[in-house]
Amino acid sequence: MAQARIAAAAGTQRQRVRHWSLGDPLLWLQIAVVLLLCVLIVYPAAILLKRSFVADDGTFSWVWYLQAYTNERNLWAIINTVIVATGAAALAAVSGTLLAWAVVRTDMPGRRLVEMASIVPFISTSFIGALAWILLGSPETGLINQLWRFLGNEDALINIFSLEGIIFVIALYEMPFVFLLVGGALRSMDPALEEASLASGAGLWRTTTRVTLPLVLPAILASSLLVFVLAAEQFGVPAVLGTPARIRVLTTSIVATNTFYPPQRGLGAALCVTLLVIALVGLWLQRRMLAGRSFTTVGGKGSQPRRVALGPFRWVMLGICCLYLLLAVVLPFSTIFLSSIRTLWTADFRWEQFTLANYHWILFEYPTTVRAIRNSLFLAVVGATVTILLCALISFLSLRTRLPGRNALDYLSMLPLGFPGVVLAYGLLQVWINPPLVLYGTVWILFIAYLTRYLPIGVRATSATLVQIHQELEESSLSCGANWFQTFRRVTLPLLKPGVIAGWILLFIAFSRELSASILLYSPGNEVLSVVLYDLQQNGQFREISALAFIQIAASIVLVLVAKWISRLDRTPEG
Amino acid sequence: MTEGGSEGLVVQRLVKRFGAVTAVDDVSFRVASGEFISLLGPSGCGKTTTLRCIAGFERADGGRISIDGAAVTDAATGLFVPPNKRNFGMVFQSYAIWPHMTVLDNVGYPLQVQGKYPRRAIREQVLEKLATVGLTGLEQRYPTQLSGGQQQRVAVARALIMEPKVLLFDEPLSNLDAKLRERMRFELVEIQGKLGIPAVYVTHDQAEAMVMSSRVIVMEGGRIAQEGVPEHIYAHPKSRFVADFIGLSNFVRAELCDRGANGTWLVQSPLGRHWCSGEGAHRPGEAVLLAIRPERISLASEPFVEGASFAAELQSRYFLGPYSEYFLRVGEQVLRAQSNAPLSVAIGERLYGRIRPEHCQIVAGGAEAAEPDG
Repeated sequence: MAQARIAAAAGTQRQRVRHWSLGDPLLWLQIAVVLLLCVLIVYPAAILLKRSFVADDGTFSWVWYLQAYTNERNLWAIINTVIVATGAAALAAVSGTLLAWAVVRTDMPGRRLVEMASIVPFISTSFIGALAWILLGSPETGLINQLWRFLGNEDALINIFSLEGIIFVIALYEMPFVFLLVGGALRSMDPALEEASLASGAGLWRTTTRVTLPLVLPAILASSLLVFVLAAEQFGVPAVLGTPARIRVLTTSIVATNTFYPPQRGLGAALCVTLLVIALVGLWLQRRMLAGRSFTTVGGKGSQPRRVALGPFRWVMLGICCLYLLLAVVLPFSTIFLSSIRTLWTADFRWEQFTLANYHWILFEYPTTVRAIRNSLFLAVVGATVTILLCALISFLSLRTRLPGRNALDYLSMLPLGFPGVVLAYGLLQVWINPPLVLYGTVWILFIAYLTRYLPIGVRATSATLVQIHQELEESSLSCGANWFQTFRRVTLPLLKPGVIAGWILLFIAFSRELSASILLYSPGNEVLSVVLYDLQQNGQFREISALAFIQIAASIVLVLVAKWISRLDRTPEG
Repeated sequence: MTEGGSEGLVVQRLVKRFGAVTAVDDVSFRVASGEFISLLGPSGCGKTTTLRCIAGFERADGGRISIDGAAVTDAATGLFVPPNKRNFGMVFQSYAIWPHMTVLDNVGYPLQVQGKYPRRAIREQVLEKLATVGLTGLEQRYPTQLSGGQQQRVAVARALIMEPKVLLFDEPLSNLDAKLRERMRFELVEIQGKLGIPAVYVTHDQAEAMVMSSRVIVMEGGRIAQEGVPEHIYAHPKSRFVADFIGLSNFVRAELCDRGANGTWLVQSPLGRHWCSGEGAHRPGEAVLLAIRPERISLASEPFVEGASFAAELQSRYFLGPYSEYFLRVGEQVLRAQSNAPLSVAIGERLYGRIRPEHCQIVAGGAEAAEPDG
């Protein structure tokens, strides 16, 4: 017993190399990074919280919360947020689990094709999906409804401008998170667990419901809670689908408080805190689910999971899976493409309607787009580079040193996960709009917002790689006489390269289409691509939107392919 | 143990705690120049932590470590020389060969980071060390293109090139297959012998420790259980733990009856009344534990004429090639014996055993359940 404990203690301690003293430059670096993160994350949050409790006359007051929870419009925004988040989570959980099971555990044909569902979020955002679905499902002009009427019906078949429409589109594009997580759990499950059930006399149905599903239930719950949080944080989809139907959610209400004159900052802050609490509760629950995940699976053996023979039903299953790809990828993307090269949006196709004028206008005639492309590219390239280097440093400091405060560092860097983009932006706005340092009105406030918002993604990418690098690779460098900087530069950083590149691409994609923080922080001259899309949608310029959206989708596909190519390069041994 | 000359590696009263757990508890030893010692013990005994304190990857909470009289760690004064300033060569369990560097860069790294050697000089040095470990011609390869044994040699060459003051090995052979492992044992000892510097070798493999070391330090629970030359530890284990960990042992409960000459005792055990040996203070009437090596039990189908023999029932027999494994029942006691003498006794029949007093050792470690070592 005692020996086991010693071994355990020694095991955990062996993860760390560096020792510290006050003369250690690393210690000062650590302090600097912690302070930076405090300024980036903790300070805006504190300002926001304070703002929500201070009345216009500067005294402590509950007035903003009173307004948030008693005003009918605001109350409905809260209720709608919960409905949208719950609905999207439930829909994503059911469809994602079904797809994951079909791909991993059945003999359904075309599994590789369906597996492409997992890269959907990298290709398109739910915001672009929503724009496409307006073209498909708006009651009057939507393509599906036009066809429906063409077939002799009076009313519209679907109305995308509804709560159901919002839930549908969000679930469509966040579902891959469930698909990936549940698929991973199903894949790593020890097939012996199911075989034991079959050997005990339980049939396929009982084995699936009594053994398989309970084992992956934590993964299902955790991933659907993640979808819940992501849906609650959504700004783009409810903004474009909810506004025409006067459906408000928290994010759109928060942005609305900022467009009033004078801005209702106190009310906005109270709504922000409310949304923050919803997101944090969701994430807290999700972490608890994942903490209990250990019992599920992981034998570490590359055993092939048993596949269920579906018989003729496998074609039905393939149909269901293809329906998803149709709704999430084929229909919206082809709609966007068609819309982008036409002069009119009707179900009645004629050759003379086809044109490249939309592309010409968006790329050369509309000055805002040119600026926006430049700004977005700058933010994506420079922002992703700075962020990933900071992330590598944070991973190194928190995983490979024994400096005081490294736990705080780890915690701080994960904190933005709980911050919806709108809330983060609202906080940053309060901080950087006043002297001494006025960043509002420059591109740097967007830079800070992106860096902060996506810090957790970058740190996860670099930490996951660092953990896989055996500690002894760095220790041997030290024992060879290299100092920590030589070790970091010549051993740690080169070995981190795959993680850094993968993280950089993830960040690049995220930075190049961020909307919910940008919508509050952009200023004339500092527009970014997603903001231009949003503005054009307000003007109803859907053909121009389609052209821009198509460019964005095409660029994303190229990037994803490049990322795959690079990761394949890294897997083959060098030389 | 710490007195004497200041030459070599000296570890004095080393203490290392992890939270509430004391991983290394008051460990002292000395390794002279050219000496090869092993720290041997099960996982969690503190052997690796001790090595890491010597290398400088762990900061000792107490004690002093010095090389040729110069301290590298001294808890009393707070002195701590970081690992990169110690010039101790270390070979890691995972080899820790950098996958993004060629063999040439891996081995040349210790010289490169010093920044005072021209490329050509480094290359010459590397080629020389690669020749020493038998890797000539592989300097342009990447580690992924090398076998486990070759990677191991790269790790050794890298530790040698810095002309270290001490060589440290952290279970370097545990990832190799059995045949290669045996060959590498001799090679490592040979290389170290030429250098004439102290070497500390951590392992949980008792055979490895005994083959390679001039001295073995057996550790248990963060403390030194026994220290000595391999032959002595094997023949005279001080405790049940050491007897159990090094080689195979039968453990038999006994009661001391009378003291004989030269540290021998007359005891009463399930094997009857016989003589055994044991150092340390004992009193007649005391309950003790006897450790008996299986190969030290002589077997015969007739009672021995000379010395005390005991009668037993043959329970089972297994043929292993060089010798056979016998399980004998003596009353409640089951004994394991190894013998290569031909013996025509059927299962269930009676046979006779004999143990010389010098092969029957009184050990510390409690007189609890005495079962044959499986």
